[in-house]
Amino acid sequence: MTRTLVIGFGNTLRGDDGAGQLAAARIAELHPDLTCFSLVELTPELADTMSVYDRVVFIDASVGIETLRWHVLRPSVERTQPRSHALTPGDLLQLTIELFNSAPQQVELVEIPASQFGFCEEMSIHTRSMIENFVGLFGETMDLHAGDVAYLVSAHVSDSSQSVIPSTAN
Amino acid sequence: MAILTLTINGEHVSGKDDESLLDIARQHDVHIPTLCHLDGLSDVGACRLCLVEVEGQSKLFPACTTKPQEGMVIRTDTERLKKYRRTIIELLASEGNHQCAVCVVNNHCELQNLAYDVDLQYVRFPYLYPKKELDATHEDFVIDRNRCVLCTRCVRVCHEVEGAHTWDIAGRGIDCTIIADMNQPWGTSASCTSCGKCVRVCPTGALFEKGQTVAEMEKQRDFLKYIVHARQKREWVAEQIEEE
Amino acid sequence: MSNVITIEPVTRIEGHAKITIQLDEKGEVRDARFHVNEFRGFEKFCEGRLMWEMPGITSRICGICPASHLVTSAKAGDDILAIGIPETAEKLRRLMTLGQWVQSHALSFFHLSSPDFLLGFDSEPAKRNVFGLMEEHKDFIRRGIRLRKFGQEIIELLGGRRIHTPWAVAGGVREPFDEERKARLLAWIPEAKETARMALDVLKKIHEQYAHDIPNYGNFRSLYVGLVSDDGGLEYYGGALRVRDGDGNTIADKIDPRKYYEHFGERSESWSYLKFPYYKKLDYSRGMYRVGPLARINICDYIETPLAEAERRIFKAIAGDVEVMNNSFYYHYARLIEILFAVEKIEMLLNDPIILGENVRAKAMINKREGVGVCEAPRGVLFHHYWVDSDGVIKKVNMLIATAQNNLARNRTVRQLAIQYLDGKKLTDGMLNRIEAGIRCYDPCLSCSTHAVGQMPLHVQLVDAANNVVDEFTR
Repeated sequence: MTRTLVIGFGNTLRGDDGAGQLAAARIAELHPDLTCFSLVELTPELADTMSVYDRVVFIDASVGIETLRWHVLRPSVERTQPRSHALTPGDLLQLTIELFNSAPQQVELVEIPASQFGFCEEMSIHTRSMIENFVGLFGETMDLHAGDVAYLVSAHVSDSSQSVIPSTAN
Repeated sequence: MAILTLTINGEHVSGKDDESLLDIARQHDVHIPTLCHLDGLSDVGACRLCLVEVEGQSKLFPACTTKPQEGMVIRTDTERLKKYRRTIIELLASEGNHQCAVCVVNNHCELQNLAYDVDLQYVRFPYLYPKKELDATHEDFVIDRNRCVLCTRCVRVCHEVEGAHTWDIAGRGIDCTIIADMNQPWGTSASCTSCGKCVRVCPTGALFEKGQTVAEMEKQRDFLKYIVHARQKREWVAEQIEEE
Repeated sequence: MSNVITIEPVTRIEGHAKITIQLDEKGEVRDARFHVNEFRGFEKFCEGRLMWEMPGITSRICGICPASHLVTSAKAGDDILAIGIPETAEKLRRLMTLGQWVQSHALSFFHLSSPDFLLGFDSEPAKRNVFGLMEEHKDFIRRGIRLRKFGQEIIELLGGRRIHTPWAVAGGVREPFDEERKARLLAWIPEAKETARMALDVLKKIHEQYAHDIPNYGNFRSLYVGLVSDDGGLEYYGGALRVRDGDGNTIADKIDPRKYYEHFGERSESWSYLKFPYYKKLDYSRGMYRVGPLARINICDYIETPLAEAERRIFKAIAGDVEVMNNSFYYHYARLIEILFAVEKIEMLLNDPIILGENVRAKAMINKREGVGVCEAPRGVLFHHYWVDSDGVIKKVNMLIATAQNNLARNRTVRQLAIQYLDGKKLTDGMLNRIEAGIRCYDPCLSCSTHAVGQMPLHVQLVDAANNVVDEFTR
């Protein structure tokens, strides 16, 4: 049984920026057995939490893209400089591996297209539909072993875009 | 009273001639969204969420106030209806000041649930941000008109069940507003019995108990069925209501 | 002819700020300013809402210390209701306040500040961060993360997992505590204590290593302001205000927090949205005060827990005869003493049977037209002041926030560092690093006083009198 942790993050009071949180909340509704966090930002203690899971899926809002991007994060990602209390998923993966010695087999980053960041709780139509799109696709990856998800996702990564939408789970 | 047969979404069903289309649909497990309707109160067809299509008629009919006719063919879930329902919720959202994040009924709100039901993705209309009154003059309760959707449940329960008729509607169109007595602070109302029925039936956080904090208020509405049953049938049986 | 050097924005603090260093005709530092360019207007949009909603609204001011705003807002509500809250509720609020301290202080020390010390102020910026630290100080960072998790868990177990919890309310808290959660938190205590001790050992070595640098980190006399308990002990939730000067004289004591505005004023400057609070009994130029860990340890007479009290005595010995530490670098030491205190005190609170009481919320009507809530947030004393009508509708709000109260002292610190380390008209990494580190002593959180924006690279400009950019780089 794959132990899966879903972490959606962003600010729900800034329009589309809350896409990650909403997506995680939707997954929590549909899959009550999963651990799903909806967070304002990523904080270092998540590294400790992550270390006991097989698969971790980060969901964030992203500007300048039209469709979902679904990456497999590799541990050898370039180190970025955390400038603030907030960290990136790559930072957290790095922390988990180096400090807690048992990293998840598979860490994914899902970027949801976002365009409007006004002071409101609503999201744009495109962002909302992309969230639903992702939630559906995520369901299809649920029963897979972490390694198979990696195959599924990486098999679809094109060199130019580094993005993927897994079509079906077979 | 007569039994009639009609068709709802292609299924043949039967119902009594003194029931509404909404009653009959519910008896047959057909879900029609509602907002102003509440079991135990008269129906006014105000919110238009329960509109249904009737074959042979170009206009739409509110299921809560429409009586069945023999051979009627009804559809409750066409794309056109879904579109209209979404639009209604969008208009409600843009016409008031609905800030779920800091509302007393967050997660227990009928308007919020309807928004989920109709798959509300985005409000296409500009928010009006109207300047509305919050009246906290009553000793126990508050009316925050920012969150009012003018369903008039409070007006009806106060008039029909409590018999006080404290609440009424003033103004027209966009200026419509719920008022106490002669448009005066609630706390100064001579007719209000402070029974709290209006607070319980309110679908949003417009009416709430003083001292409640964010996401804390859950409204129990079952009392209404019990009271109405007791009054009409002269039977005081909680169990029977629960079974229903 | 004068030059202006601008550092924008400062990294590894919350929010968004820039620094300008004003040079005179001779090229020497005339003044240094820490600007806050964001504006939020939280106080304004609370008007017209109900007093009971305020904890839920104001805890959204900040994603870093929501629990402090929550508790402070609830206390302002208690004051308007004019009631005493149940003992259990007070203990639970205290527990949450300390959880906030542990969580916030751990982040400030282990993540944001320690890379400066352990890797050196002149080390490569790209490596001078928590990742650069992992190569040699893995256990240190791991423990820091775990300590922060402990603080976070206290807040989550009390108020629910979501960060903006409306758990504390006017009159008490919404839910009682229970055995299961108590046991979960107690299990953390040994590890947390050990981490706090270890951090103190590390810091003491840092003090030796940087003995030469430390005197330049905001080393000047100022006033110190904060809460102390009724008999002068370190306080974080109740008690009254004390003002002590840089020579160790207590110049005001047992000030009712409700009367804070009689003692503290605020001045606006055209170049910053963040106001400049000062102690009114002295004039603006002499009324500069510091709040937060350094101030709290400076003003208290003792700490009620044994391990932290032993450290406080060492702290006082370093301060010398005046028994007041005037050097902002010692914010770090004070912060670690407070972590140790918080862990010890959390253990005491958890073991107090009253914490499991069922009676946690008192109810009352609006009994006063204004109320003040006060609490020691991680960064310093925090005030919420509400004016309401007879029905509890908010008429006016004033919040006095720690980061603002340290505003004058923080500017002074930047100036001192600039004078010490600016060499000619070139911006060196070493100087910029030290200025940033000087600001981080105060662990400023600008999202609270203004508005949090995302992260941007460090942009530095050196501009001469004719507005020509003579030196510039982006990190």
